[in-house]
Amino acid sequence: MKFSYNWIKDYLVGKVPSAQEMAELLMFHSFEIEEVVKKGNDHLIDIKVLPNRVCDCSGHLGIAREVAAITKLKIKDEVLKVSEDQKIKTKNLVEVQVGNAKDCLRYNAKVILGVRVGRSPQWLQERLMVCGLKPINNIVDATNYVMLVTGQPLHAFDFDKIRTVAQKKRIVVRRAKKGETITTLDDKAYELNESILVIADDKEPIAVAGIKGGLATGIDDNTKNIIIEAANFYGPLVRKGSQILKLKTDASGRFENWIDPNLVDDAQRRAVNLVQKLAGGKVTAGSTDVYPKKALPKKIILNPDKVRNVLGWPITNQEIKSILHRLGFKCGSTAQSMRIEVPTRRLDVVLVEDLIEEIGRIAGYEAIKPQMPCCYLTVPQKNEDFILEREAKNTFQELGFCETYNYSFLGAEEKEIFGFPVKELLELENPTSQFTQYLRPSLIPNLLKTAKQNLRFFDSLKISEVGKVYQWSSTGAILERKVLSGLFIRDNNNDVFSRAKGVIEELFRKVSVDLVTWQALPDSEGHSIWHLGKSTFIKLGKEKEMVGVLGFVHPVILEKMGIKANVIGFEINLGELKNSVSFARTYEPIAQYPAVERDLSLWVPKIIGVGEVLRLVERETAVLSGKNEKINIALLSVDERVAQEQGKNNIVLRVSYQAKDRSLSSEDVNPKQNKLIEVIEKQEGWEVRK
Amino acid sequence: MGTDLEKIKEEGLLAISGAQDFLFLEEAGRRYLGKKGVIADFFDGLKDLPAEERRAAGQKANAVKITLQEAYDKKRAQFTIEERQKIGAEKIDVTMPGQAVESGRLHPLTLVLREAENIFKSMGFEVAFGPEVETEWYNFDALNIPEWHPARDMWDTFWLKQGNTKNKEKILLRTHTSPVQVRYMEKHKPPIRIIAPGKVFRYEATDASHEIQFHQVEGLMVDENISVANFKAIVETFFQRFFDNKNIKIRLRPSYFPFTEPSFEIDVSRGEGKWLELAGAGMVHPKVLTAAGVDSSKWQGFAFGMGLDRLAMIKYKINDIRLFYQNDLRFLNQF
Repeated sequence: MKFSYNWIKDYLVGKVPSAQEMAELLMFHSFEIEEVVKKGNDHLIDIKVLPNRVCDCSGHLGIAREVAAITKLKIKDEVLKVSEDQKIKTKNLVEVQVGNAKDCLRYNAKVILGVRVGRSPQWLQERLMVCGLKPINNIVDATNYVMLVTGQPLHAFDFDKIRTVAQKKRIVVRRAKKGETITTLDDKAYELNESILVIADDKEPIAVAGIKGGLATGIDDNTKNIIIEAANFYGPLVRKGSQILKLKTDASGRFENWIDPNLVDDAQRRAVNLVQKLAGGKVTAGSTDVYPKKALPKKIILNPDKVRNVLGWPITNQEIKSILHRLGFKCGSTAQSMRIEVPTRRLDVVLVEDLIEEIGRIAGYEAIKPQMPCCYLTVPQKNEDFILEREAKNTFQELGFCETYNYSFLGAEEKEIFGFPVKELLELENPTSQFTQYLRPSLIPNLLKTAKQNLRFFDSLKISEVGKVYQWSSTGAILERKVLSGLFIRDNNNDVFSRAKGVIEELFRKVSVDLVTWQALPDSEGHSIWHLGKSTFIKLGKEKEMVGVLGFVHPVILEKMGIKANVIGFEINLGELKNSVSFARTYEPIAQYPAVERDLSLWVPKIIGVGEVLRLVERETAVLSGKNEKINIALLSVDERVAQEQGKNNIVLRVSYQAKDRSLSSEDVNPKQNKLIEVIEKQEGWEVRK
Repeated sequence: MGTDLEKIKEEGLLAISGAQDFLFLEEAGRRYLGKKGVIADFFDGLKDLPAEERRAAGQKANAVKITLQEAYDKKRAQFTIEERQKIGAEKIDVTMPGQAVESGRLHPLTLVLREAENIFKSMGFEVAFGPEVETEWYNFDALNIPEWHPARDMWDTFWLKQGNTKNKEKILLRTHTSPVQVRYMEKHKPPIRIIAPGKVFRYEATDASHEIQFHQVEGLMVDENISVANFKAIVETFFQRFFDNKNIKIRLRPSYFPFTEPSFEIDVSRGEGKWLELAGAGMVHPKVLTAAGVDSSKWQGFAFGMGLDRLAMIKYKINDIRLFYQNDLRFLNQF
């Protein structure tokens, strides 16, 4: 909000700080200052008045009061003389009907007859302009001027343009009816409805309450008689009207933050005083004032010990009282505490905590000495998600992956390319563009986008991300899950899949997940990110819990995204992985006695996966190994070509026999090896080559 | 006899001087001077000689042995020097650059977050998480920001469409990490000491200092007598550790947040009279404590929120926030 330094100075008595000094004082005790700029022989001070202080500091008098409280200067005692014509009573000229006192807490109208509408004097125009307002004519400018002093918005109507009913001008404060319209002062037409509060005459709306006046009853060069409205409208209602009409004004900005109905009195007095000075005219006696429920000062019981306790600073009772006095609060005392009376203009001060803020900020927070808290030493509880995430990120860094942070959004284009079903996607109501239309249900799309950008400069990439993905569940619940995902792109394409799988296996080794089932994706999966036939589910434990996927990204997707490389990706749900991890480690004694190794060369039908061969052999050797013995199986090689004609793979295994307590000999090992061969040869189509 | 010895001496000397390396020399030594070697054999054979010849032969054999031993020792010593010089003569260019190692990287935001976490954990703070898709209640109402209040305008919000849920509560992308305070307090009794890092979202135009998604670290400490003085100490300590500078000072300026009272902005000194606004904070508003089920007459405390991206930009002198989410490897590889 823009303020004029000279104008603030008008209200202060004594040695007033310079514009720069004043700005600094306000910054440390009241508000953030956006800027201080010299304007002619004045200064513009742009003050960031936040919603809680609009009620009393949206005007120069309020700011002056702040400066006075901080500097202990005094506020000028202004005597504003208004000469009213006692023969003409305002009540006899203007009648006000308020529909609902909840919508309009107060409505006050004063009348001035016989004004001369013209231009405002230079000094007034300049002040308005420093504050960012445009001068219009002396009447309107006067009302704006008073608003900028007191924070109370005012509006002037042309008295004669309002309909007369029973010899009085009738003003009705009511909700608009559906279908009613109004053309405002800036010649724009608006359609109204029952959610909008209006000022109406006997027939139709003449102003949108608290927001903007109507053109029909506006002040023009020929206006002779005026009504000055000073009113108070329910904040949320004005805000709603402002949102519906998409119309924000200086008035609506103040009302929506709630202001004190008692501001009306001072504002009216200043307004008629100023109008009379600028435009002449006769002020009628009294006012028409509808004010059913007078706002009374709040009373708060304040225990000064609590102030010292919350601030952590031994401020004295005397200092507390002095500060509150300077702010215009009244302080009485009881035995243990103070009774504070809060001026009605301070709508933001309701609780003890609000008083503590007043005291702390005026005294100055820099006085408070930092003091480490004294508490019981407690060890924070383990956060399992945190530990697993850290372990996952560390592992992937060790394995050469570069961590990325991508956008949580999914663009409309990507939704089409990946074919995510719309009913599962969380959609934005107000996206900033088509790139932020949805939330991502997978990390893969944006990882691919990132990969594509980087492939311009790099031939190989290993990128990872740990982030959230979002979806609607079938029962209508929001599924927000933390996923670890990555892409693996190598320019030499040999054995990429097994390298990628090795990375995942290393992660599982790190977190002691031992039972992993790799299951090829079923042939029909509808639309998929993954190249079916070259991708696998990752399942853990005896229950084979689905924890993720590893596979080649579908070439159609790569093509649509313009990526000319083979990409392997993986997704692991950390929430589900968490159930299977352990960071415990048990030492296993190192073998003392040498192992006896026997190699096995098998021809196995191609359709049997190597995993199944290993499982069978491991199962059998588990049965064969005796007490204190262990049989290890290592995969030496898999060759597709040797037995290609027979449609078989040549799988070479090394079987290591070892005992903990003795050296094994051929006599110990041969029978077991033979039994193993026997079992293997029983499998249909499996051959053991000699 | 004499000729045998002469022959032994000649052959021995030849073998020794002709040894190409240490192993050959050792072998020669063993063959001639060893326990089962040629000279030893000769000594064994002495008993077959007549008595008068025995003594002379023995003396001659000894002389040969000594000669061979001397030659062996000399050669051996030479070998050690030679070996060393040979090894010394092998050269590589140590100034040539090393082969680049393929090293993985953690994102700078992760690095900065870990540092912040470590500092706070050392002060007994636990790490808490909360959802990024939040309800209106947790993001605003529970934090004393009702729908009709203009304070709502302080956060530009991304709202989400309802979907097919029967639950008609409004949902959004959280605009700050403050909702985690409420969620945590609902589930844990005071005293409380947590930080809650996470992604937050703002409906804003993107530029070098603004993004639609960024990260915050929220802090909350609630106990029986926590004061503004305590808050100052904790936050000052954090910034001193984070920027590794014991002289860092902080200052509090009055501000307004609906969920704290008093509220402050925190500026951190950067030297040369420059101050940077790095956090918003305040004493937790009693309405928030109540909404979370905490007795505000017994418990009090402070809360703060810092922009993690901003901290990283200052620490690493990065001038554009968008770099964090563009993930150009030429940027990420620098960390």
